[in-house]
Amino acid sequence: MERIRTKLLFATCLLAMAGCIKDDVEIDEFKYTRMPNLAAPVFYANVDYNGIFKHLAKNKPQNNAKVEFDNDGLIYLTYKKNYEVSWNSVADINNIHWSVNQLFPTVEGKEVSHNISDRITMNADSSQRFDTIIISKSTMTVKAQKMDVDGDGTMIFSEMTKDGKALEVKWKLNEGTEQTIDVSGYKIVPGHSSETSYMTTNIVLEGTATATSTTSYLNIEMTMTEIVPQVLFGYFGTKDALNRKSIMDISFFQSHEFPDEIEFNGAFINLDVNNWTGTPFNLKMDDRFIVKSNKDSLPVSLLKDSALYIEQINYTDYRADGKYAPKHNYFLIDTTNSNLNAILNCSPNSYDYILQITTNPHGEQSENFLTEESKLQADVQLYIPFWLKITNLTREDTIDFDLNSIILDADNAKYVDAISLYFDFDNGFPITLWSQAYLVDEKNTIVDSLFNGREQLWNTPKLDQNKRVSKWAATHSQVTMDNKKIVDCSKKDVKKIILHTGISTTSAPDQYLKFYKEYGLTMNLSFEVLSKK
Amino acid sequence: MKRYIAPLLIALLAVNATAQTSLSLYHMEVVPQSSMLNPGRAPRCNVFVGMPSANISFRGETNIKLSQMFQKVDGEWKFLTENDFDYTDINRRLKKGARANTQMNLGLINVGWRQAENYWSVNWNFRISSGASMPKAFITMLDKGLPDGTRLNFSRMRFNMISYHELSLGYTRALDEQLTIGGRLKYLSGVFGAKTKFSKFDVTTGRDQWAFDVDGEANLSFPLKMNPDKNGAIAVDSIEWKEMSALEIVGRTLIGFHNPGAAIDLGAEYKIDENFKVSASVTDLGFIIWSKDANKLSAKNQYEYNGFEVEFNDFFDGINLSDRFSDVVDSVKNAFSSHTTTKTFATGVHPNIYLGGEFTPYQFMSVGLVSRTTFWGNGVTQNFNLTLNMKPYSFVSVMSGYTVDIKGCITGDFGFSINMGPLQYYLMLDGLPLVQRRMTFEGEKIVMPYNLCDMSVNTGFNIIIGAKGPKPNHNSKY
Repeated sequence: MERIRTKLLFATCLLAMAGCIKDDVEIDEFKYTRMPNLAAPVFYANVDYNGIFKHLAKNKPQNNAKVEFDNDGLIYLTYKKNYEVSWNSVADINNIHWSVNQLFPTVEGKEVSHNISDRITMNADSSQRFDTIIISKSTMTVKAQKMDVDGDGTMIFSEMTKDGKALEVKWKLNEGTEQTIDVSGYKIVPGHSSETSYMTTNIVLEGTATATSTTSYLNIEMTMTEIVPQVLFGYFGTKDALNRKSIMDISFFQSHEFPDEIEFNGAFINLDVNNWTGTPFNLKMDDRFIVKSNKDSLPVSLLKDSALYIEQINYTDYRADGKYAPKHNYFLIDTTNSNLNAILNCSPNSYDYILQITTNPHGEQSENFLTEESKLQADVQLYIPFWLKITNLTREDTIDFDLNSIILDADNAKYVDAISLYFDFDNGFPITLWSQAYLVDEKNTIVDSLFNGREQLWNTPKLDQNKRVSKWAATHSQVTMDNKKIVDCSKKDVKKIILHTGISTTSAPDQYLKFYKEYGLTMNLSFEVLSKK
Repeated sequence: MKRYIAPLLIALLAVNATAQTSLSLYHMEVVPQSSMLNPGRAPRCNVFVGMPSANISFRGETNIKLSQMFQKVDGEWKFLTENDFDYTDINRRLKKGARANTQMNLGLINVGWRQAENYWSVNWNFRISSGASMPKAFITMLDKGLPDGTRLNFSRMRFNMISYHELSLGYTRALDEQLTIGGRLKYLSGVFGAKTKFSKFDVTTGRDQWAFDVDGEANLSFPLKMNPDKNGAIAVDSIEWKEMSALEIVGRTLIGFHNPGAAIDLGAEYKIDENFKVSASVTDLGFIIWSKDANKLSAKNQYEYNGFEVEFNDFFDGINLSDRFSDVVDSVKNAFSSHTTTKTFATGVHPNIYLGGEFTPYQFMSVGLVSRTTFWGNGVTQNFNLTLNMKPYSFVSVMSGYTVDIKGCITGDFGFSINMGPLQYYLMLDGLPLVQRRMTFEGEKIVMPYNLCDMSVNTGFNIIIGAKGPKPNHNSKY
């Protein structure tokens, strides 16, 4: 019995350990080498009127340039710059500062009575004269140092009144003062002497001296800052309210890759000026186009010697809402009064000009005035309408295409049955496009090509009698690299694809391309890789 | 630092913890934990106390056979990611996709005692179950690639995980000399729970279009902080763990009773004669209602990829493929972005059905046959186990046998228990691969199991009082 138990125990344990080792599996490394079977879309594009518009707009030379199309398919490149001359560029009355520092005799315990009178100059520019100012916004700050006098100080501005009452500032002499006074609504009628418009201030000090010193020190400062006139009458002199050099970069026509020929059609420069001030202006412009390649300067300069005069508005001509309608003037430089077309055909890089705006060009003929809303606005607009012509414009692009990396290993080339590319185009432009793609190695040596010769990818759409597209043209192209070609390209280590494309306005080879809103192009590229089992 | 404590604790518990999961334990009646598989079978002892936190079990199950991942092609070994690998066998075995499930149990308090014809037991276990399903579409994709006109269904992709405390009271009673019945009532308290479900997850690929159509939901009971964007959408990578204090973590994982549930075990044993017994049981028939930190993430989106959109400018400026690819990836990610609602949900606890038969020709030896059917969240598994149980001496029991699953995966079982006075140690190993593969990988030699289908480990220490050894049998011819 005991022997049986022991044997069974051993048999049980043996049963448990009856495992065996089988198969020597040798794996050099875990790797992923499953050959792909894969089909996927790559990209699609819907190029329409807006797409071309955005492209041209993006490539416009400056942010202030716009691209527009008209109903005749004409492309407009429009540059616009605005200039504004505000009231404080016409009259210089922004800040006024006046101060007094004085020693005068005093005796302790004796009465002090001291008067000072002075003029405060208001016109920083001596060529200007101010007759009346009604202040819309400003603050006056008066600082007086304390004195050893027990009494009162008074500062009186007799030309500065509100409701017929002159402005008075009072303080205790032994305390000094620093007061900020809102002077909005005050009217100042300055006095005039040679080249100066001024207002007077009278300072009266009355009290009893408290110090043993035999003199007292008087220190007073007055400032009026950020004066905004509700209305300012006077004469503001003859001066340059604006004198600025500007450059409009129009190198678009040199740098742009798309057209190979451009016809300009009716370019013009428009100067548009509006005057909301009670001051007349003259506007002069010294302008020229610059050709960078030969450093040519091609002047236009129709407003260099003569000038555009802009009248002033009349004080009493305000509208029912209290606002003024501007006085307007404009000047047009076009092909009738300039050689603009010829200049543009020289492929200029920029349009450079100096804009000069001068007040009272004829001296004082009538009283000027300004309000806080007074301004002068000048717009300079350069319009360049053009058509494109494209005659077999070719382009070369290089695309990275490391075949052996795509199929993971050169040894795998034999497993790939085919790699196919599918191109689907629906062309609504009067343009044709051909392409050829070369498979090249690292040194750009051509190994093979994708197409047998040039492949017409965009066919010519159907045109009406006006050479306008009436029906889009669909093209479906398939390029297949078969196993033989893949193995060959793999062996020769293809690294890149060099893509040659050429476009032409072949629909109307003798005509310029016009863009219409219904024009467009759709394209889809997809691929498929098929591998052997 | 605190933010990492909760996930760390979960990870540790997931690794270390487990219900009694060894099929071969069923007939090891000298180990008290065997009654966990059938409450109708009382263990052979008067009183037992499981050593606190020293009884653990683990079961891992998958329908992926390791041996099918390697093939010898033209005298050279290939892995399934290599070009010449033939997927016929894998496709045959994984008709609905791959699956993996685990169950773990940590016995915190296990006590049982006999009282006349009655046997009582009280148990406090911490348990974790998890399961994941990988749909067949993944394998198809690896095998066939994504040629024109491919339609893949990923809707069987699942992930389920529950961890919970189980407090149970068991009762077994011999009704007569032949029939014994028993049951166990369980109060369950969920700690963390997650379940996912896709009613639709279609991916269509072709030369003209790739399309994703997703309609799925994930129910979570985790301390998570959702961070919706301005549209209320939640990207998976925007979800963060809530910061919790140590006290909150302990409260949530050990002593908090937030997500209530209940389960029942029922079992019976019938003694046909002195040598033959048959038995049957149903265990873990129950559910948990999850309400603490319950969130339902719903994603219902469609995305179509027709290629990169190229603008007229791009023909002149060139295309940045990496940017465009990122845009596509973002769009696909957006297709999986979800919206959240606070919603209570319920999960089951993976019930088992056991049917057993035991032939005892001698007091010291028996031959057992057990059938186990397990209902995982992502499928049903069926195992049969044949064991030879030996008790050659009063202090030692040895078990050895085979387990075979319904798909023909045969593995070995081995186990033993040793009693040193009242102290008992036991170890049960099920699903041991009978055949090993010696692999040389990048020059290093390793031994890998040939099959690893349904494996479990049970081990622990018990204090046994009144263990009954083999009774003298005067009729024995030996």
